Amino acid sequence: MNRVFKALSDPTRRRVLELLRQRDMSAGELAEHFDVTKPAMSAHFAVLREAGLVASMKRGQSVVYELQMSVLEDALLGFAKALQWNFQKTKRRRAIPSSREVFER
Amino acid sequence: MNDEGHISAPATKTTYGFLLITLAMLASVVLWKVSLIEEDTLRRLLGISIGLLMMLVGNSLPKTRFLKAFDSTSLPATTAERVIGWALVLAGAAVGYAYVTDALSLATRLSAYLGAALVLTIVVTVLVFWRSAYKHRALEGQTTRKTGAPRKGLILLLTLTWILAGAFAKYLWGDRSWNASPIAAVSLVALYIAVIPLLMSSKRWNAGRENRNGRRRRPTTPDYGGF
Repeated sequence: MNRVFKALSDPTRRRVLELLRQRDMSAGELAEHFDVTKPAMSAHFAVLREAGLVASMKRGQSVVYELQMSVLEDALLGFAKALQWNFQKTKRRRAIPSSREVFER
Repeated sequence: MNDEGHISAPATKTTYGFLLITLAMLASVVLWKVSLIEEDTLRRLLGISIGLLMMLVGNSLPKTRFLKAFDSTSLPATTAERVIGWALVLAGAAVGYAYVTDALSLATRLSAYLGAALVLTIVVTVLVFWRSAYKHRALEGQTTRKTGAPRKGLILLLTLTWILAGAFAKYLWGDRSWNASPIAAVSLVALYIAVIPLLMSSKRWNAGRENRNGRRRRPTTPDYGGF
């Protein structure tokens, strides 16, 4: 379940899931929708695949991704979208100590 | 990379959960037969179990992509799978809640109406999906993909629908002792027949992914995400 939360915490990955809801897409087709480098997109796909939210199939030269979400994961995606989850930002904020923490040290 | 025709690990967990709940249902019937629990308790337990079964199956059905095997395009299948999954989960939660909190007569009536509405929803959704899929295929001249696991998922759904239809129809017609009737026993056997191929295919799936030491195989080529 932790992997699912991790996968849903990123807005790019959430957008990928929304795009796949419309139809199956190849990696290239999906990448066209984002201003992200291909290695970064590959990393996003890997996280989604590890969480079991998408499945990938090799069709000829390209790899086609299809949505594979349970109802619970679908509901979590809805919550994540509504609440604009972004754990990376939270982590970054924690990594930078507040002025009070610096003063206490 | 996942192969077509194999179910994923979460679907395997669902199958085991499914078996566990049906076994618990059988055990509660046995307890009632040997007079360890009263009939009212048995009916409550069976109602809650049916609610749980509906939630469990409904939750994982969209993941098995059970309708996609019959359609070359993904949109109608995805929509139909989501509608059926959500309908099963919500109806299951309502049925379970009714049997936990309400008076037995009210819970019975409520679950009967909910079950009838659910069966109608499933049948209508599948028919609409079928119509749109065939229409699209005729326009595009595409062929049907034939895969193993989604068809098993469909068998599971049809069997569950059949059981629910039988059970709720009996409730609606006023015979409330369906749980001890031969229909319930035959339905449970049918469920096991539907579930066993799912279990076997999941075992094959796991075997294919593990090496001799029982560890997951690492990909031999680097994964570039399909670019």
